[in-house]
Amino acid sequence: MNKKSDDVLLPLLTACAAKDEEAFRRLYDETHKRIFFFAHRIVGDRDMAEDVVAETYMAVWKSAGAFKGRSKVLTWIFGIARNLSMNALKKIRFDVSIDDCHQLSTDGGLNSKNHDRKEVISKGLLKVSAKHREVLDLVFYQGFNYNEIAAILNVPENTVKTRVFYAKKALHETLCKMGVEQNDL
Amino acid sequence: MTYSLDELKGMIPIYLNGRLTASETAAFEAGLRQHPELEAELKDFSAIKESYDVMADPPDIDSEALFARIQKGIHGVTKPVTDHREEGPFRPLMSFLRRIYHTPSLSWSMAGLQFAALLLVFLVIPRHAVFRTYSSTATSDTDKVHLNVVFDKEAKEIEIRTLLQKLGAVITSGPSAEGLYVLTVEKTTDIDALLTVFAEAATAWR
Repeated sequence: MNKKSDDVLLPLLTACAAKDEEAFRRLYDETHKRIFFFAHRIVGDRDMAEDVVAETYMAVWKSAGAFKGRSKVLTWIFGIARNLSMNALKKIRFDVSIDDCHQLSTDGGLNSKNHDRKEVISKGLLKVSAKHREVLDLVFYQGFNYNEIAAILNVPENTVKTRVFYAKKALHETLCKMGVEQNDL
Repeated sequence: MTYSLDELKGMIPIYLNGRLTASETAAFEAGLRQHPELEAELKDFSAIKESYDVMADPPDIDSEALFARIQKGIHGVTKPVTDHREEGPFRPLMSFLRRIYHTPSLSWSMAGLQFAALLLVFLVIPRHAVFRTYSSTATSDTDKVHLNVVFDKEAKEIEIRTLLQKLGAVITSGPSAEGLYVLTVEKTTDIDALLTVFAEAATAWR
């Protein structure tokens, strides 16, 4: 995934702090799709993800002057989106549809012959908790390193490392419940 | 720099997303050759990463409509509705007071203090205190006009008599303990003119 550096984003955020709407539009253009995808993966609902994106950029506009540069601009925006997503998630119950699970578990187990294992893992990722899903998303889809993820989640770096491994374990357990054997993966 | 097996395991996700530095990558790959058990962990995470690689694109987003919504929101933030009641030099003071009095504990404290002050006033005032007003005991006489007058303390008797003769007024009552006299004049007397004379005489007030 294309990563925008602070060389591009920091001047835009600084201009936002001076209430430059053109810079704000450019900052939005550069980042909003990643934020939307991230929020959508957490809340699992398109409308709610759009709400999160809207609230995130309103918060960015309002708080741009408060950015202290302790993290990168992108991780700061992700951090805002993450908190808003988690708040939104409390309002809804997110799960994979029962039909999907039923189909997977009644096909006599999954293996590379009758299912694409990547697809199976994708479905399994939707079944793990939001906390585990978000950390895997941040590593493998958003391409952040531990330090950046720690800034987004506002936890120590070691906690991020531990959480990634717990997320992998949780995914395996979920896949087992879905009828996938370890050797099939 | 050498890394422990646990540290090398911790590097796997970041190795796969390509964010390790060149030296860390070299150390990890050397560790991979040295510790075959890393291979299994690497395989597990590789499977997860590959699932992301083929993951369906996120749903389409109407970027323009969403930005228009955000703009509407930020203008709500930057242009708050002005409260005209608070304009003027007292606005900071009023805001301060409102902030103070919106604190429930302080509000209750203030109410308690006010109650204590009222209680104190009630207890301190002598129970038999008498509030005395200037009044006369003269009976009403429908043919006459009665005037309550207190003469200046410095006024001499001769001056008072001269003034009363000039006005055609007669003392019907007084003086009371407060120095109040009740004068009586005929009803036909021009009261306004009489009051003017009193005011100019500077020896009495009504």
